[in-house]
Amino acid sequence: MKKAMLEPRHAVCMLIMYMIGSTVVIGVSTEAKQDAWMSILIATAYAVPIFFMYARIMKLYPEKDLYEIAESVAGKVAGKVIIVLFTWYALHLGALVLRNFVEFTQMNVLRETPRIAVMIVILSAAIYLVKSGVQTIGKLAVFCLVLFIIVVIITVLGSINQMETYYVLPVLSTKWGVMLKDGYNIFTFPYAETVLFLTTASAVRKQDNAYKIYLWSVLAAAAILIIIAVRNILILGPAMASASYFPSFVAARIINIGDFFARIEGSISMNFIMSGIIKISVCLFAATTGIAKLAGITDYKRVVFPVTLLMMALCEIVYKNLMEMFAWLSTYRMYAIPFQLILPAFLWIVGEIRTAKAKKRGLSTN
Amino acid sequence: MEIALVLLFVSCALVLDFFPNRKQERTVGNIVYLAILLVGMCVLILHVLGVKVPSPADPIKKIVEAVFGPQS
Repeated sequence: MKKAMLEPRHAVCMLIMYMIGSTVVIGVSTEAKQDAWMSILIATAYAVPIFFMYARIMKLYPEKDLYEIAESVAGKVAGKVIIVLFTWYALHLGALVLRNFVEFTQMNVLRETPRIAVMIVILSAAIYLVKSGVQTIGKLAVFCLVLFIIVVIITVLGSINQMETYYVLPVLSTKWGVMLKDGYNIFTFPYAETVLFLTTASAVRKQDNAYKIYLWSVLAAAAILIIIAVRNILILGPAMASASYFPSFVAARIINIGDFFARIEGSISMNFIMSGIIKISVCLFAATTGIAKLAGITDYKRVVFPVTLLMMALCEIVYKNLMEMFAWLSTYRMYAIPFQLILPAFLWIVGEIRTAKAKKRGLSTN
Repeated sequence: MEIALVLLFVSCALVLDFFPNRKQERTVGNIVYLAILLVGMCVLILHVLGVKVPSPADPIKKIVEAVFGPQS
């Protein structure tokens, strides 16, 4: 049977939705205030070389996923250790993202609904997507992205009468040190979390340009994040935008055109959750394929249900409350370094050395 | 209520997923399936019952602070 592959445009949309997924709900950059857009640009500049490293890994090991790459680079035992680490990261990240969306839903929409019920609803969609395969996630990502862009346009146009241009002034008054630090925070969350996209790399065709996929997605995600950040600042002001737990939702709540077009935050929150489902599905896919690989299970779809329950359990115990969830971000930026930078750099460097050696050997035999 | 939801999810997993496919999978695969399901179910039920299940965030925070210093 022919292996189902991921179309490049599906991969791009999947990456964009993955990057803007939870960021659009909990917002970006808290310290740079009205210069948040600059922090996003700095983060994009940090992300581009790292994304090229991820793309290079995909090029060095075409049609192989992250776990197969880890085993072929580091051997059986060390490879398994790397798989354990990435599987943990995928499971943990999935639980963290799920918690973001559950807290968002509980705080703003379904106040009395038990957390577990909200989790089951979100995860049921994720189970379906993961069981259907990465191509289905890609196809849904296209639909969700189009819907997402429409909603962003509606909220921007609908809130023009509420915007105050002086909120973004003075431009670049924040210290560069603060913006660089904020840029790094945005780089670790959400940009470099795309390392988990490498677990779907086996579905990307050898002839498709991984550099283009990563570059287009990071540029589009940066543009969307900047538009959202500037919109929130223009509506709420820098102080309110950074003090709000869910600034996009608060900004949407303010939209009111002649008492006719108002209270649209309910429909917008559905859109947020759909973007979250894409990110949670990719994390669930990464965790499931990792566990299947470790246990020697040939079809990862067999363990989707139990891994989902594990993610749900982790999501439930990971934070005590909303404040702890936001405080965790300061720890996360350091915790993510091994998964987002060190391990991929190791795979890349070893891959480059091996390719160079193989080329040399090829030349000498010729 | 929450315990009922957890049990409903586990029942769905067993009835719709585990039992129909258990013969296609090797014993190891089935054991891994049930073990993960059991761990997830126990953690959730203990948490719902008010038992304090340790969060992985605390040890991770300690390790990060030991390596990089206090994070703010």
